[in-house]
Amino acid sequence: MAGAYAIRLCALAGADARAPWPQMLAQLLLCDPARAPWLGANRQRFAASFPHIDFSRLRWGDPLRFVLQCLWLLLVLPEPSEAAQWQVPPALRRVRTLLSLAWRRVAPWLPGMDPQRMEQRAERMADHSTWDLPLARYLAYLAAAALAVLCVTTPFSLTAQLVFVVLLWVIALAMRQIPGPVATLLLIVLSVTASSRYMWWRMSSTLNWDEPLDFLWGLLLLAAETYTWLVLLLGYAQSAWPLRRQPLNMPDALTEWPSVDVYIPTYNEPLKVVMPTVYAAIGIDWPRDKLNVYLLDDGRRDEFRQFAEASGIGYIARSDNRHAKAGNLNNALKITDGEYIAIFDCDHIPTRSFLQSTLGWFLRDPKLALMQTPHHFFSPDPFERNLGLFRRTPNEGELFYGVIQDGNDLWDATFFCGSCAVLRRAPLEEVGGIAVETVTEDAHTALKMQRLGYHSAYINVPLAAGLATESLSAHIGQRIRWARGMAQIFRLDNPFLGKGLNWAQRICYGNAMLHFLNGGPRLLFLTAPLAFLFFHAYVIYAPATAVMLFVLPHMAHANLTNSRIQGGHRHSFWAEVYETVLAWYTVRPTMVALINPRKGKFNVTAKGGLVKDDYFDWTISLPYLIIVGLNVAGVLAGLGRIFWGPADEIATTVLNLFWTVYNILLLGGAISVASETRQVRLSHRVTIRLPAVLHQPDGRLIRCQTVDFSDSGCALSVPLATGLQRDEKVMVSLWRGAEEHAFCAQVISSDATQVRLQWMLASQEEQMMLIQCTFARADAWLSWSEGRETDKPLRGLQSVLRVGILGIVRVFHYAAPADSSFSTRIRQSGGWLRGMLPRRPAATGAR
Amino acid sequence: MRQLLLMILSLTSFALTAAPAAPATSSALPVAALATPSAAAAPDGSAAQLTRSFPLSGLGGAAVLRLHTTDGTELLRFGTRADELVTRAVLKLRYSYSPALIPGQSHIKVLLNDEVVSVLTVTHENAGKTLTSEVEIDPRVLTDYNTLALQFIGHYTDKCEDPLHSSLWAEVSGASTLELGVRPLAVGPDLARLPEPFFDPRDSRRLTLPFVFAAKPTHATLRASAVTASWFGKLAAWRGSRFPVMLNQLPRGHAVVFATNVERPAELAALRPFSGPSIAVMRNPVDQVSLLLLIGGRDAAEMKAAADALARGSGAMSGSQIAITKSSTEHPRAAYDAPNWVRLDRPMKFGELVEDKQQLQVFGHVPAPVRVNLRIPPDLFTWNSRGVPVSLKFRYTPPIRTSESRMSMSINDELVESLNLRSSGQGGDSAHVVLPLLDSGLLGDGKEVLVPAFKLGSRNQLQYAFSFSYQKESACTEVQVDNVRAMIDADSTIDFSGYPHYAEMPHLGYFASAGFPFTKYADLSQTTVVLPDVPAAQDIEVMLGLMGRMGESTGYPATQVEVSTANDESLLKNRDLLLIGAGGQQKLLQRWAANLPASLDGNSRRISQPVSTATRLFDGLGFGSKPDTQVATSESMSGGGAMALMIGFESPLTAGRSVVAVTAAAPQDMPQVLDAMADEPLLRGMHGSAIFVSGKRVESILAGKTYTLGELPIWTMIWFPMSGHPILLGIMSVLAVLVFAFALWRSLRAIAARRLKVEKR
Repeated sequence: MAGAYAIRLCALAGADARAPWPQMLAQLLLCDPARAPWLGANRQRFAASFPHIDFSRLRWGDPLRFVLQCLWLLLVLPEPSEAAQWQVPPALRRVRTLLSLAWRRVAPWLPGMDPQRMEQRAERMADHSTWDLPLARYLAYLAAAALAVLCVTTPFSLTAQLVFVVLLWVIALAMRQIPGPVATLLLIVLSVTASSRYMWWRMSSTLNWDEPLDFLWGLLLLAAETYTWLVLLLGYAQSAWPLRRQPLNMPDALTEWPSVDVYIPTYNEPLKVVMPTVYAAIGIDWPRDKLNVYLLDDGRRDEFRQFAEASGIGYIARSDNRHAKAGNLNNALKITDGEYIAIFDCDHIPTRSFLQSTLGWFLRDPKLALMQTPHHFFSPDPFERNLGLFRRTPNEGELFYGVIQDGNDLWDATFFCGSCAVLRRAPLEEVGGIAVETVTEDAHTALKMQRLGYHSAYINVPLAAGLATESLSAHIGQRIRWARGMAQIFRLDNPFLGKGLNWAQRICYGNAMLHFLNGGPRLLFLTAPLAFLFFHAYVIYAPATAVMLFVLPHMAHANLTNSRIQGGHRHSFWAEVYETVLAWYTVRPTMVALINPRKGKFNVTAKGGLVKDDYFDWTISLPYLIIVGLNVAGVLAGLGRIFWGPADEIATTVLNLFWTVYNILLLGGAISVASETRQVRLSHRVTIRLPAVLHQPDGRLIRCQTVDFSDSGCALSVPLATGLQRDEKVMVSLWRGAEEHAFCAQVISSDATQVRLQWMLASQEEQMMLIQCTFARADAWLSWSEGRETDKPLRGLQSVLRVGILGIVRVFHYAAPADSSFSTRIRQSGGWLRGMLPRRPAATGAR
Repeated sequence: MRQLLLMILSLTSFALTAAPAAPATSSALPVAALATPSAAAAPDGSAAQLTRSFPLSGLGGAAVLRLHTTDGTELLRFGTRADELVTRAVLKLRYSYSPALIPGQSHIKVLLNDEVVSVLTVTHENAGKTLTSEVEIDPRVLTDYNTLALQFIGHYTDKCEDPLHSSLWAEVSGASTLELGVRPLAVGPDLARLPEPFFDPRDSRRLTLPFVFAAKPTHATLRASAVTASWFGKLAAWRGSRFPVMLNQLPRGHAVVFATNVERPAELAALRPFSGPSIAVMRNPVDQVSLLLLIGGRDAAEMKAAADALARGSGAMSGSQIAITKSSTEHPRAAYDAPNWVRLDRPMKFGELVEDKQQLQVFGHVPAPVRVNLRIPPDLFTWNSRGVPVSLKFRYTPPIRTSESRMSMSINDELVESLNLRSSGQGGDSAHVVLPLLDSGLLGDGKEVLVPAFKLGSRNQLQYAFSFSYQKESACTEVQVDNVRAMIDADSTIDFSGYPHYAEMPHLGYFASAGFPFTKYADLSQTTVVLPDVPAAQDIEVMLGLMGRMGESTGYPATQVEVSTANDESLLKNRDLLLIGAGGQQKLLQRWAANLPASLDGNSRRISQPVSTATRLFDGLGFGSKPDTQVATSESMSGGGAMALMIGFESPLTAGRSVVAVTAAAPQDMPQVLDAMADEPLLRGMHGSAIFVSGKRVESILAGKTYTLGELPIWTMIWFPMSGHPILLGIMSVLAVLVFAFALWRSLRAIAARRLKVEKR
């Protein structure tokens, strides 16, 4: 028997079957004892596998580095595609071959995993004719409900719980392989089961009623967890099935097309920001006589009046600024008379197809009162800019517009977001215009209309694009307003109460509002482990192992499922960073609004601003620095507990330490966002490839593509060197549909592959045309998310943690002088730790 | 003297002859003394001289008594019976001591009741050897309760002595004995002394009290004897009790006699007939020194009334005879209200659990633990419980060195928690160690501790061990004052309330240790003891022994127990049955034997094995797997040899009722069961549904049908069995998930279609 295995092993490894055992083992691992890696020609190849180890001068950490590198090479590093770069040493390659062969042996035993077939099978099962029998169906529901109650509530011993959760986890992992909505729903229900089981356990057996301190902390934490659990469940309900509504074609007869007023409210934004919007609005494809563009200037600026007159659009100003944006819109509503109203924030540049794409549904459904489209941003938000993530990961808003609003649409609960939307005038007037009672007038208006039985709809196609907030403080200011406004609505016009909504709409609206109350719970999660580390309060009164066995499945299932639902629009674990950043700042306004909803005022989101120098926003990050400080103290206290505390508490302490360190890194991420990086462009460059023709001064034409463009210039990629000199005048042709338009430009620089240009536009018409050929193109934003990495939960965690470390490092960078001995030492130990990490093997000539 | 006695005798003989003529004068002594010439020998110096020998390890000492200079003294306690006169007391010591001791300065003091009775000196020649020494103790120093103390005074050097030095030791073997020569004393027949002299609390030996019946006692008589046995069992408590049965014959020594007008031992045939329930004490005509406790009445029912009165009202009796005019039960006992068991309706204070609050207090630096005994109904269902909350308050002298001073709480010798003692407040100064007792210097401290519920059996002991570290500054500055004391507050509580009663039966361990399920009602009001039609003396002895155990367990006499034959259906149905009978005399057992996992009938016997016992590996995984108790194999055999069998099963007559049967190959093998149950290690080996007892061996088997007693809350009833099947539950949850996900898919698909279509007009 053993002999047979030996022969097979040797066949796999290419070793001599008749050789004695020790030699075979050596052959297996070291390729050839006669040519051991440290001898002869293999030496270099061997050394290349360990680029961070100098074998001639070994240091203290090297053995550990060696082991880590070996493990990494064996288990993690994918087979290098370019063999020329580096070759896995034969010894390691053989072990890897063995491992993969073993996997291939095992794999057939696993259930057949043809994803498509599995999906079809799942749908066939879900759609089976048995379900059409009401009796069978309701019996099955009844039994399943009973089973579910049992599964959630049955207490287990630790081992039994381990078996149970491993089973569920394996099923979840298998389901994940299957595409399609059935598997998604399966994952959702599994996650709900795991989380409900956790909550049941928390509520039934982890509160210590005997110790008042423990009980109080525990109750607080439990309340926070219950909130999270509720929001998780409501979130699943909201996003289980994004409707993916497609635009509906307009009737052929232009006479049937209704009249539309386009409102562009502005207050204090510079004209430069507003101009492109106006130009694009004018260019929207719609019968001229039925399209009226109005600039609603609450700043009452002459410059704007003149610009409006020059552009041939309406200009509406009022004498006071009552109710801010809502009042501004309501004022215009009285003056104009269009059947429909399209609203764009002054920096949201609509594409020319905006109205044609959105109005079709209004004509189909007379009860439809609102059509919302996503807010798309072509400039990086503070997260993207300060963390260097722009266009690599989805931005913060994408989850909402990509999944949640689309999911709301299924339940007829999409709400108005203040911009990039079309409203029907009649229902809007029926509810008394835009709501003024709260600072989130948009959502509140939608809620009021829906209470009257009107529908709302959502088209998940970016049909307008704008500027993101330019600094963290501005971003936070905006979110504070939203949070306060939502809390106000929750108090004044609670969607769970009142008439007119169906239960699904109540859930969707309710969750939108509840979501903004996450500040308190988040702060609790950030500080809860300190209760144990400092005060020895068992906030979760259970042994550490039990906590792990319940918490981990709860979190793992939730993350897996959310990654599946939202992966394309939000990467795993990033929500934690976003929430952490806002937590401190939204707690107070939401609490105040919940207690006294009539307090608080509208603050305008600043846009189009500049960040001249890199700086660290100490003011914004101060609360987080304090919490980090507390957590670091907690870590020290925890280490003290490990070394000097009772032995039976070590596991609990370690668990709390892990939690604390995770919190520190999350906070690090939040702090990292506060280190503002330079933002000096007045005009944001949008990286999109458009066909273009470069007219050279000598008359030659070059067919080329844009690399990026803005309203001040563009870069073209050219197939061959142009030889253009700086300041030379050229023409660039761009297309608006089939129309070609040529624009004058001046060369800034040019090289073999690129020409960078600055527009030299003479007239307003030319500027308008440029906008319409670029930002307002019908297909401008369709391919925006191409080339992004897909979400992998663990990679999301990794990147969040990396950002966290970066944040902590940045704090040191800004806080401590670079040459102080303290920061030197920190840097040294950081470098030493980094030196431990495995490396990609160095390329060597030894082949 | 002699003349006086003769006078009394002639007087009583007159009374005896006169009695039949005047039955109306029933208030006259019906017993008095019986004038038999052999009994006329009055107690004098020639009466039997007995020698009692007590090993020190049995008097509260350890197997080896280790003496140190610092731990105070080793205390040994013993009592002398009121009906015995100690004529001689010899302490036979075996000991050895350290060679480092300085003779002249070092010695061992022997104290009796704080008086020095002897000093064992130390010599160089004998150091390190095992020595024996006989210490004569003047018997006049002895009182009812005596304390023998061994105190070690040791010195190894003249200067800078360390009282903790490891060379300061002396050890006394626990096998050393205290020998008492005793002579019986005649005590007057007075009911006011009860339960003395039949049970003397000074006597720490097992209570052995013969019960005397007529030649063929009826079951009604036996019922009265069962009540009396359980009362004596309750009194004897930890000492244990045995009741040898004499049929129609009087033993020497104290005994209890059961008699009615028709049914009485031959030797008491001359007694005047009873005119009602009556209790009397009289001299034992067999030896004239000891006493008989006569329980009687005109018939068995009256005798039962007398037994009840004895058990419930002995405190109000005096004189040599008393007639019972009324015996009634106003309030029947409720379930689980045995006085000896913890209360289940409220937290229990420690003060209620100990006989004397002094038991909660200890002296010295490393005192013996404070021990609190607990008896818990064996069927408390503690699954998934976090533990039993103990709210502990304790006081102690502030320790000088807090880091090594602690209080360890254990239950049944397993550590629960160790707490550091703190010196907060005053007393931190090492110079002022002497603090007046009960001053504010004694610290109060409270702490919640949970007793892990699974560690509790039916008999438990909470142990609180204090240890105070010594102050040791340097070699020559020693301050050693033994003024440390600690106390567990009597207001500390332990709370067993809120647990449901639920037990998997049969579990003979419950029966052996606590008499469960019979003792669920402390007066055994749900129990019928079923004896053979003509029970052998040993059968009765076993019944009495078991009753004694139950009385000991509950602390309440079994006044409502029924004793019956196999023929009385009304007493068998709807009751818990205790079947006793050897050698095929127990008809019920014979009738039911076929369905039982084991049987023993004369020379033929049968033993079964279950399909599976719980495997440790599987159970170690936490599946809470239960053994499969179905009978897998069954061996029948035939042969001689002493063997007794206890077997437990559900009553075939009434579901939910228990039967425990005690049987043996031959009647003389029956008491083996009592012997085994009195043996602590053997008792611990008793469990399952059948126990074969043979001498010093017990073999427990869990086979055959099982049943449950008690009720669980509905959710617990569902959760408890499910909690052992995570895989099943996992599969079930996947099924539920599938059903819900499929349903969601269908409905969401329909909703989406409606959203996109309905609006199309």
